[in-house]
Amino acid sequence: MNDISQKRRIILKTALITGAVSAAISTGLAYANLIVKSAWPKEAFNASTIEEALLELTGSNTIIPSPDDILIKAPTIAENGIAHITIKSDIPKTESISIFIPNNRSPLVANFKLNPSVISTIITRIKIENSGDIIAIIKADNKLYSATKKMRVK
Amino acid sequence: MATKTIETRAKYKNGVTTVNALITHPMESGNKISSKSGSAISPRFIQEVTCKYNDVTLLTAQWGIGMPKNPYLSFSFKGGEKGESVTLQWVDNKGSSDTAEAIIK
Repeated sequence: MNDISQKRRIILKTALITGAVSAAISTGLAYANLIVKSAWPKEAFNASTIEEALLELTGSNTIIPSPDDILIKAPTIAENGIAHITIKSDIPKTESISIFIPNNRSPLVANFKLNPSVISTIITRIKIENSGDIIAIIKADNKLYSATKKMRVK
Repeated sequence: MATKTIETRAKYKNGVTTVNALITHPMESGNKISSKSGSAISPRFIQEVTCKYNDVTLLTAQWGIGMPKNPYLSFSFKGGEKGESVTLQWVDNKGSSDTAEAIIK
């Protein structure tokens, strides 16, 4: 555990340095986004809150709640803590679909980046450690949209 | 890996191709304690799954420890043609990987 937290600190430091460098460049934000997209976002998966994870993943944590445009299809009760889930986004220009569970040790469960030809619906299975919310966050046209569904773990 | 870990299918209907994939992988979160040795089982999970069609990346899935054992994924894309293929690749945190091809039916 100690080893992990040490590694995390190094990563955080690197992230800080990268951030500082990017800020110095006028196109800093676009550059930082590019770095995040090119590899597995370790900082985002290690983050303990959704806000932190989102910031690492997308560079923003301003969310527009849009329950009418995002459909989360999942059972109300997750047997053995595993649930089959469908997330459908009706938001135009959907670039990515992320699944967050605030009560999990690692709130960011998965992030799916979609090519424009992909229909913005993802079907998968997820682990839910404790009863609580499942949050779907859609990135579209550089904005973040969200929908929430409550689930119980049996 | 010697054994096949990806079970994937692709089906074309009305201009849309649907891809299904079931991956055989332990997806160890690192939070479990082995009942035999009493020590923690080190994390081993898929970090990235990429799906390509005609060398174009359709989907990149980035996964954490919240994905269960033997993960499942399904999505659809506009286009595709019967007889052509979709490729799927996964890479885990230990650097293991596997690739599979699905012929669109």
